[in-house]
Order: sequence, then structure tokens, then C-alpha cells
Amino acid sequence: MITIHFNSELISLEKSITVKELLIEKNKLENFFAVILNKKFIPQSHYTTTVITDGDTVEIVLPMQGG
Amino acid sequence: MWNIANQCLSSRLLLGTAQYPTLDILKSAIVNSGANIITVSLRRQARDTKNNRFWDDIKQLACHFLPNTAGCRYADEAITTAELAREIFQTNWIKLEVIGDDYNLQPDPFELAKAANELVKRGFEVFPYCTDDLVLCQRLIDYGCRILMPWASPIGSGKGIINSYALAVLRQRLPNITLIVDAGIGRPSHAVQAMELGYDGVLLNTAVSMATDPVRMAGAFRDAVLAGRAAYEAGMMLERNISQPSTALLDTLFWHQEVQK
Repeated sequence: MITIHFNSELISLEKSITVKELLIEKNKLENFFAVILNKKFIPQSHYTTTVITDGDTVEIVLPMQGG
Repeated sequence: MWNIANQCLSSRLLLGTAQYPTLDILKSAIVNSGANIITVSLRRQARDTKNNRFWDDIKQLACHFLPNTAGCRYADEAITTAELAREIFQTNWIKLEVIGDDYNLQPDPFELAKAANELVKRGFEVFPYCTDDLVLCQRLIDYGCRILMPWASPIGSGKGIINSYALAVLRQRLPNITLIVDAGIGRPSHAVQAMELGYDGVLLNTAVSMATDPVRMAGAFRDAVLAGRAAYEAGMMLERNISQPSTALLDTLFWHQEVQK
């Protein structure tokens, strides 16, 4: 069992999983978002090879209004 | 029509999308402004957020998106934000903001130049929000920036062009660089002034979004930018210290020859 921060929420996972698997679990499959893992940008092409481990922080970033 | 970052556009007005009373007013303002480029930003997903109506609606508009790096204080933060924006918005354009002071939101020239240097290497078309400092602007150009966006005055202040001399010098010294006045524009007359100086465009947000009628104000800025550009291209008369009659006085009815003596 591991614990991670996902969008500022503490969640538990049975084991380490890839970013892609986490996104599937969280129903986050549409376009127009990006992923930050421990304050680093994870390109879409790395979702299947990047593994999330205990204590990691994952954030989803979305478009918003801006000046 | 004009060219910016390999795009041929009709409008020289770039419009921000923040702080509008409603999403519908924002969309109407964009349409009425005639802007081809609108600025956007990024946010963390809030808990249980499923819908993003802003993006669902705004992506339907036929505009180019210019994502910003708002909120960044260091080069590495801005670089990460730019990478995120490139993936989300599918554009290599980035409005590079690296703020050095919380009071007037003045860009940090050192972190800005550092970020610009790296982002150009990574293939971004960098639109740096900068001060009107000539040496900083020259450094940004050395690093590969083809577009510069010096401020008129602090973001959201509406004070207009505080240092028109500095902006005029930039135009004069950097004739081949695309120059856009960004930040501080409060009234259409400020936009006219920037365009009369020979600037290639004007970027603004608050002056429209905080107007009593943002949609109508967007139209006012559309016309102001057109008027200022037309005046610049038409060639304005030189200012004089003495009066000159606009009507030729010789042979007018009450012209007295002795007045000429």
C-alpha cells in the first residue's frame, strides 16, 4: 500500500502504478490537461513509463482564464 | 494584415480573458474586439472538478491561444509552466511572465532573460512581458526572442504609457522586432498612443474586463488600435512651437498688407 497526494488530496493505492494507470483510475482521459509529478512536467508520451511511488505528489493542470 | 510568429493576422489587438463578469460577456467581448490572439492560463484542478466550461467554450472561437506563465517568480517555474502550456494548448507560443515584485508586478529581468534563453532553445516562440529597459530588450533579442512586450505601466493599473520616451526609443532602436505594448493600458486613447509610436500591437485585459460594458469597450479598443496604426502609417505632422495659419491669408477679404511688415 502506498500513499500519494493527488490534486492536494491524500489517497491510498494498493501498489505503485504508472501515471497512465492513475489517470484511468481517476477517469481523467479527456484531452486538454497536463500532469505534474513532484513539481516536474510529465509529457504525455511518458505516461506509460513514469511510475508513481509512495509519497509522490501528482497534480492535474487545466486551462483557465488569463491576462 | 500583419505577421506575428509566422501567422498572418488581421487584428493588432491581443486580448486577455480574465476577470470578466460572465463567460458569455467574455465571449462577446472577444468577438467584438476582433482580436485574433487571446491570452489564457493554467490552474491546478480543484477537487471533484469535472467540467471546464471556460475551455469548452473558448476553444470554439477562431482565435490563437497565447498561454501565460502568470504567478511564476523564477525561471525554472516559468519553464515548467511553459512546457505544461505547450502540451495543453498545442502551441509553442508562450507569454513569458516572471514577476520580481509583488507590489507593482514588475518583471524580474534576470530570471526573465534566463527563462527566455532556455525556452527559445526548447523551441518556444517567446513573448516576453518585460520592462521598457533597452539593454534588457537587447539581451532578450540576443537570446532569440523575435517579439518583445514592454509594459506601459504596472499590470492592471490603467495608468497608460508612463514613459513614452523609453517606448519610443525601443521602437527606434529595434526596428525589426515585433513590439507589443503589454500591461497598464486603461483607455482606448492609451492604445492609440502606443500604436502611433509605431508599436505592432497592444495587449490588454483589465481595461475591457473591468469596464462597465466590456463588450462595447472591446469595440472601442478595436477601433483605437486601428486608428493608431493608420495614423502611424499615414505619417503624422511634426509638432511646432509657433502657430501657422491653416488657411492661406493672402487675398482673403480683410487681409491687410501692413500686417505682413
